[in-house]
Amino acid sequence: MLLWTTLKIALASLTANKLRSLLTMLGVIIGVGAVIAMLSLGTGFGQVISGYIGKLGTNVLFIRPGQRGMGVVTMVQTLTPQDGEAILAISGVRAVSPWSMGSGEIKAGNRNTNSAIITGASPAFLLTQGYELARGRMFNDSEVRRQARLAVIGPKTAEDLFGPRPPVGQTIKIRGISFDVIGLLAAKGDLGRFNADDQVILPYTTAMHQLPPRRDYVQAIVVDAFGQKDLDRISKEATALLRHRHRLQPGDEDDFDVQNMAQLLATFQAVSLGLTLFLGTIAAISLVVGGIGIMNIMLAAVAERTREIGIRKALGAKDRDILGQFLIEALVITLGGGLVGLMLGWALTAGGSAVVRTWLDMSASLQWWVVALSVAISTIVGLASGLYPAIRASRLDPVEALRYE
Amino acid sequence: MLIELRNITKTYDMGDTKVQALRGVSLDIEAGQLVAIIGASGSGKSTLMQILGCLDRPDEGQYILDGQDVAQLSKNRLAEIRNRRIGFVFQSFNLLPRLDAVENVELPLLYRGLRHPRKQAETMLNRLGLGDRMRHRPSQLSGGQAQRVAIARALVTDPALLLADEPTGNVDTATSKEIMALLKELNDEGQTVLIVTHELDIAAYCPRQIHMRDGQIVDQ
Repeated sequence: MLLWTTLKIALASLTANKLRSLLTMLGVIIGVGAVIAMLSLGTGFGQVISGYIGKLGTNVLFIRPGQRGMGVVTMVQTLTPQDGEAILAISGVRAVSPWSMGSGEIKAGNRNTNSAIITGASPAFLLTQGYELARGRMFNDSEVRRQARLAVIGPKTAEDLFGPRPPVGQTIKIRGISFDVIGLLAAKGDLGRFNADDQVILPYTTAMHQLPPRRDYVQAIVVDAFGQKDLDRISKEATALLRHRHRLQPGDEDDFDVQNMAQLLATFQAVSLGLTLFLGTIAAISLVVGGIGIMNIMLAAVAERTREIGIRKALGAKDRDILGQFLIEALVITLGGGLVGLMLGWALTAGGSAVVRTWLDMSASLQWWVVALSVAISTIVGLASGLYPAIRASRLDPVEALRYE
Repeated sequence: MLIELRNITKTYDMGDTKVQALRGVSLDIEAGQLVAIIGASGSGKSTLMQILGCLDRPDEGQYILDGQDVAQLSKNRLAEIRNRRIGFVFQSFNLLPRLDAVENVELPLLYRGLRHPRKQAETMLNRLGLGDRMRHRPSQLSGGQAQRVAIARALVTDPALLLADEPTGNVDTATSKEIMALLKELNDEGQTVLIVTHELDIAAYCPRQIHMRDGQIVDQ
């Protein structure tokens, strides 16, 4: 019999049992929806974090004082600007910048802001962190040495403090100290909780020695390498060098932590993928449950419609006509459910992103492979759960089936 | 000769016991006949009807339908024979409850592979006086109307043999007469009709009566 006719017959019997068809579909709707939401959100989350790490630079080592795994970064006073200068001598290192971060009120005339991050850095900081200047210039090494009171500010900070007025040439005040604004950063985009566009970059010497609390150690050293392939070697050499400079004995633990950003990114991506697959698998279990529900309903339907099958066979339906009818019924349920599930999953993804967006700039998008996957999953579930009942239906003996009350 | 049965046997295996439903039945039916098969329950008349209707295959013997040996055809080939050569009318009408009259009548033509059998189905319903009941579902029809829809469904394929199994079993006497009159009328137009019944007054409509007992034809 023609496919179209079979489809019409299948649709007729599905619409005749609307509530039951809908409840059966619900299993697929929830299953497909959950799988899609989990995969989309997981992938979106992974992309956001990867992008975040990527923006920090993957040619980069971060060296922080203290020991790894201590949780809160304790203010261990072991890392000095001189450590940074020593690391610059390692071959393959392009630039080194000490880095400190702080916060506080920043004033300009009668306006002020509290949100900006106060960064202490060296001129190499722009290079290592991939910043560009929109206006003005960066302070230079000699200005760093003499602790010049100069500042390069981000576009968000400039907007907050000066509105539409050009910021370069203006003066800002931090804890009573005046800084000349000599440069404006080009917008880099929000990096989640850390807004790169809302910061004030000062010479690290000025930040260390003139802003309270005054200190002679740095919070971090950023090392920029010429290429990613050198990072491992540079990391090892920097570790040996710092152990020597800090006079650590063999057996002592490092009093600093070298983070390889490329490694961090790779590790994170692996973890993120694993997490996504794990969540997807859990969601897929609900699909299996949905499939079992469909098989259950289809078996009940076959039993209930034994007489109908007998009549159809008496009128000349072949085994494959009956098989096709019940298989198509199962497929209509699962594909219909899959379609609604796709929409549900997408709604969950959009909703989830919206909730997460308050602290993470995440826009999970519906990808073609997710659509293809949901169609494929629905078809497989439909075939897997419909095949056995359909085979049972098609093999019914017409005489027995006609006798069935 | 439309139907030739030669030494048909059929045994059902009921677990411990074997029931011999047909013990060597031979029968000839010519085209255009109106025949009744009469017998009490357990006489084997239902089994005979199932074999004549190609719903089941005999264990042994020959069944020639319209020149073709159909006794041991495959299930698929039997389905085709049922679809093209045989029209069934059942005691309980056996209309599909979720389809209306016209859709029910279309069904065998759809299984034959016709794309748009609506016209033929409507013509047949009109011919049986059901022109105003086309879109009614079986539950909205009286017993007599339902059986006429079932007869329309059986005739729409232009079958060589119309097989009616207790066609008046579920209707009142007046309707019963009406249905028998219709079957007789169809026979007058040349349709071969075979009626299986246990009621003698129904069989009385038929010029030829075949009596069965214990799986054998005892009188014809």
